[in-house]
Amino acid sequence: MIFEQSLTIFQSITIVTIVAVGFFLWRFYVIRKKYLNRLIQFPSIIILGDRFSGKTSLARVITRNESLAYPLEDGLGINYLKDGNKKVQIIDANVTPEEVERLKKLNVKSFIYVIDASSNSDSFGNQIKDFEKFKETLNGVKSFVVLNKIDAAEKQKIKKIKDKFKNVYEVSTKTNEGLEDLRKSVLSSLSV
Amino acid sequence: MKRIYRTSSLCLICVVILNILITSATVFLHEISHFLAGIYFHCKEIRIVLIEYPNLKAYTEMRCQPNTQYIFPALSPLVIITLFGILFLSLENLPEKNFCWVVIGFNLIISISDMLHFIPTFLIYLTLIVGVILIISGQFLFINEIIILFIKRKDRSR
Repeated sequence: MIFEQSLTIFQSITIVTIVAVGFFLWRFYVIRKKYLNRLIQFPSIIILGDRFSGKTSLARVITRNESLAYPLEDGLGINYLKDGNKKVQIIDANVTPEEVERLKKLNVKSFIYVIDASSNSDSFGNQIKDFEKFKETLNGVKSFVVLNKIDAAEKQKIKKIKDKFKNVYEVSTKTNEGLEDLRKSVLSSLSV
Repeated sequence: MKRIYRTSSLCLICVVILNILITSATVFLHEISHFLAGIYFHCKEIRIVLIEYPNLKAYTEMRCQPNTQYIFPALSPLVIITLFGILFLSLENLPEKNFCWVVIGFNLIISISDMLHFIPTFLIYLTLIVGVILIISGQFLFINEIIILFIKRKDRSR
């Protein structure tokens, strides 16, 4: 008596793999679309700023959570900030002023602009120019200006920024200085 | 290439490799089950072929006494591979636990030719339908979970 299989190994592997690949492509498309729709409709706060200004660290520290790594779109890390019934998504957006246009389709409540105050950052002039471009594109959206890395900043530079902007949050994600105030202001801006 | 597509392609490659491994393991375990049952029921001239060149078919050959002893080696893969499938359920928090249904369903399909001689035709069709449903459900659950895991993965690298 011969117990022979109905399919050859090659046929078996091909059928199972084709089913798996088909399902993967279909489900990836459907699930990503569903999450993107949720991302678009959910109230959001965008963190913008120069490269290495500490956007990701700031998002992590104020949400007290780890970020989701670019789960749906390149350059967008997502965290959730919760306080009682209030929940908002904090989007750590690694985008240039020219690329910020695509974020306008999100339900943006406000944006946080992070200025790197450390000595090895881009010049304040350039960072302020970028902020103005962001503000112009995200017209009508409330903004928070955050001076990060104050533990490594020169007092003169801090003064220069404070002269330029009325409300500046001086923070350090390294020492956690000033972060609680920023967190409270962000949350209170949601109920307005 | 966008990072999302690059990483999802890697995820798809993992899905394909896992499926190839699971399918091959099921095929080999199926034949080994016949072989072991043949030994246990004192069948003679037992020969197991895991890959026969060139048609790549796996089969087990044996000479059993013409009574119920034939049925046991024929049905042995159903028992052993069902147990093998149930092992996957112990991977509680991993998407791979859903391979349980894929393995059991796939085994039902490849077992059909072993059972042709002693089960009625309608049961053959029923087995085939149940097998296909199990494979599709298992793959659906596995892939859904692996994509959600991929989307919700925490970033510890940055």
